[in-house]
Amino acid sequence: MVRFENVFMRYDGGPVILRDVSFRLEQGSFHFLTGASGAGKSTLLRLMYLAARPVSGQISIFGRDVTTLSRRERPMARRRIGVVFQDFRLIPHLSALDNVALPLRIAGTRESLIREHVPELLAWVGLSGHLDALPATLSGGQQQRIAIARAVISRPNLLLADEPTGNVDDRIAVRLLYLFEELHKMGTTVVIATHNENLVKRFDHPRLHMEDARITDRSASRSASAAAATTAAGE
Amino acid sequence: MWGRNDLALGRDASSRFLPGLLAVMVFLAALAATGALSARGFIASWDARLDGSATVQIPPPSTGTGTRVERREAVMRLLRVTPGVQQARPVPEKTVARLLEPWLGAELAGALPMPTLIDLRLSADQPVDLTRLAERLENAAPGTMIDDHARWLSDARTLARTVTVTAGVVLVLVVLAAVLAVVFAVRTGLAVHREEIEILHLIGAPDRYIARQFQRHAGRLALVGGIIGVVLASGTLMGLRWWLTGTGPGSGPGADEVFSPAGLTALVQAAGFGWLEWAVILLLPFTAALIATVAARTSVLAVLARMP
Ligand SMILES: Nc1ncnc2c1ncn2[C@@H]1O[C@H](COP(=O)(O)OP(=O)(O)O)[C@@H](O)[C@H]1O
Ligand SMILES: [Mg+2]
Repeated sequence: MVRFENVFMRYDGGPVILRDVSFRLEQGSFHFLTGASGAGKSTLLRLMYLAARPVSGQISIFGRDVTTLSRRERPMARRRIGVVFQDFRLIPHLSALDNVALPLRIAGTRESLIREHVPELLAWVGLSGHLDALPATLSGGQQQRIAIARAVISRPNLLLADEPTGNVDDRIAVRLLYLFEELHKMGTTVVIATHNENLVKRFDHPRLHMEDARITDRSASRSASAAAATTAAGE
Repeated sequence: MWGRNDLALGRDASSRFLPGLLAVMVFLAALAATGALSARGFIASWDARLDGSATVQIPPPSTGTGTRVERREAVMRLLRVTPGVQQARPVPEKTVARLLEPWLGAELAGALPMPTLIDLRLSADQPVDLTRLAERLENAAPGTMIDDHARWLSDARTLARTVTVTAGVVLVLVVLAAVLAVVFAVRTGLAVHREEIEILHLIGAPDRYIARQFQRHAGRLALVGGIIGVVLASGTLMGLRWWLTGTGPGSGPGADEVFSPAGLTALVQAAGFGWLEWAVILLLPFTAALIATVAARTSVLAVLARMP
């Protein structure tokens, strides 16, 4: 599903974020991505949702090398990837409903289906009373839930969430995690970057840990479906 | 065409300046197009009217050249037997006086000796040798001249061509300016909405989805501007026509009235404003919308294609 091979990543003039990293995430796996602030969690996710290219190495997603995808090919790949951005990235002048509807509209879904599914999902994340609210009128936690709803509305094959529970209390965080669990049960591959050790402990999923530009598997997981995440040291 | 807009382009500055700008463009285009069409209609109408006609002018008698009537009869006799002259009709003296009045004033026109004018209709299949006829007319009544309007028509054709070419240049410039305005608005819009566009891209929007937002916006603004421009142009043209022709519809001048000021006014009227002119005018807003749509789409796709 997701395969990194000898990936080397750094931003222009910045520190090395990934040094010769290789790992695989099996289809239908669920991983937490942990690491100190600045370790490169967001960058790793960005590589996976095709918003950044590695300096060298190969990244394949859905069995295709995405580092060589053309501009024309990228949109179709991106539609299979749901992303919860750390800074939400909602469109400020669109209502909650229209923000969540965007991926469906881009994919050309019938408006009647949109009217049916979007309010349903917004209700699930506890925003049924705010369908027409603009993001700016909502709290950080509410905006985050819109962002989550937008990421899962089109039932992506790969779901990437960057600190998706950073702005909500643990009770809501758990509820949101169940949403990801639901998707996971339907076969979606999930990667969640988080600081929240409570969550990681509470849900029984393997963990990818970023440190010193490397990724280590700290799964200690009992889950049979847990994927192997290995680091190839590249000396 | 009226679909939703994810980028809220309606709040951009372009929404304020594009319709006004395009209204002016369409206004100019409407005037240029109808000017060119009118000039062509004008020439066609006068070609039909004057082709195959000629005017013989016998100056007033001076000493020793016979009386007015003698001279006219001598010319008429000659014309009747000239092959190719289908009809010769003397213009009544009153008409001649009326024609000269605006140039000379009523008093002078009444007092001065008038030339005699004869309208001719020439056969199409039997061309008349006008040079020879002129010589023989000179013999019949010295000082007599014949004019087949060829020179006048040729001048008028040149004028019409000039008007048409000028209108063409104006149209090209107007389209160019409109395209530039749209491209400028689009590029500004792309810069202003860079973040939202990035979001749309990240959730899987292809470039043409972004382009569609801009092309709808530009097309809609151009349509609004175009309608305003056409309304203004129609008002201007109708006012101009009313001013030039007076109120009532006229039948246009006869061949003998071409050279009078009243004749000029009638010419403008004869040039006419038919269904073709109205069709062109009514199509202009849609043409503007189409041009704006294509310009917006093309420039969005060009800018986005250069992104990594
Ligand atoms: N767009 C960028 N350009 C340059 N440097 C960046 C950019 N984004 C992140 N970085 C740097 O890369 C490192 C990793 O950042 P990030 O991936 O956001 O880490 P994390 O999400 O784990 O906090 C940091 O040192 C950060 O300053
Ligand atoms: Mg981060």
